[in-house]
Amino acid sequence: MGCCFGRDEDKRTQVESPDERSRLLVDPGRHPSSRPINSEYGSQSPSSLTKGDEQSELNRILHKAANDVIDVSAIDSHTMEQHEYLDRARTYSSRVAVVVTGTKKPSSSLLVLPQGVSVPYTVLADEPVSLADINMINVAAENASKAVKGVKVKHREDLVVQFPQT
Amino acid sequence: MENNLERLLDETLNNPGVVGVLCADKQGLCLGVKGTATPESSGIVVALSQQAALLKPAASTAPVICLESDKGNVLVKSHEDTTLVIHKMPVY
Repeated sequence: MGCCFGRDEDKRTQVESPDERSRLLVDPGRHPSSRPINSEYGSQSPSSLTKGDEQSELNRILHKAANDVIDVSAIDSHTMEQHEYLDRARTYSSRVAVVVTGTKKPSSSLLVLPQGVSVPYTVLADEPVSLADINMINVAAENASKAVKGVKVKHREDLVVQFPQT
Repeated sequence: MENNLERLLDETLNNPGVVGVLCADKQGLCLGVKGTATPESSGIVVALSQQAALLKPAASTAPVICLESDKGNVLVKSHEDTTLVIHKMPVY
């Protein structure tokens, strides 16, 4: 037989006396000729009962396996068509455009800043403020401060003016 | 009197490139104006000078502020209680 299992199991399968310890499933590779599935002989014998059980058990396992299996190839077979892809792209782009224009309105209405410099790059690329200008404003401010301090109010007229009575 | 201030503003306006001069007190009251400067801007430039001075509170003197634009530079400087503004066009 070429069996590598224990001797007890070999003895039991050779005896073929079904009891509560006999196996319902027999490895078909090990006993291809001893228990043919589609044999017509011995339909009333106890061995036919084990064959029926064997068949139902095989069917049950087959159904269980068929229910448990997730057929990935069947899911993958649904590929996106070209027109479907274009339809989706159009839908997404239109929704994005709606969202962008919707958020732009309040921000543009809130932010109202005057355009101070029309050509900023010319201003930025211009020469920095010269030291002569800074000296000029420093001296002028100092002189202006002195001149303002020299301003005094001269009293020429009466501070209280009498309006003519009507 | 204010003759000294008037003369100073005229002298400043005669500098090359200067097109406007303004002098204001610490409360933004315009004390004198010449050229392109307008008396309405005196309060703004004084407030700007006071805000700029807060950047360096430890400094003994107020900073010189320069507003650069394509319509010329505006120089602002406060000395004690007086603020002077010079509008200067670039000289080439």
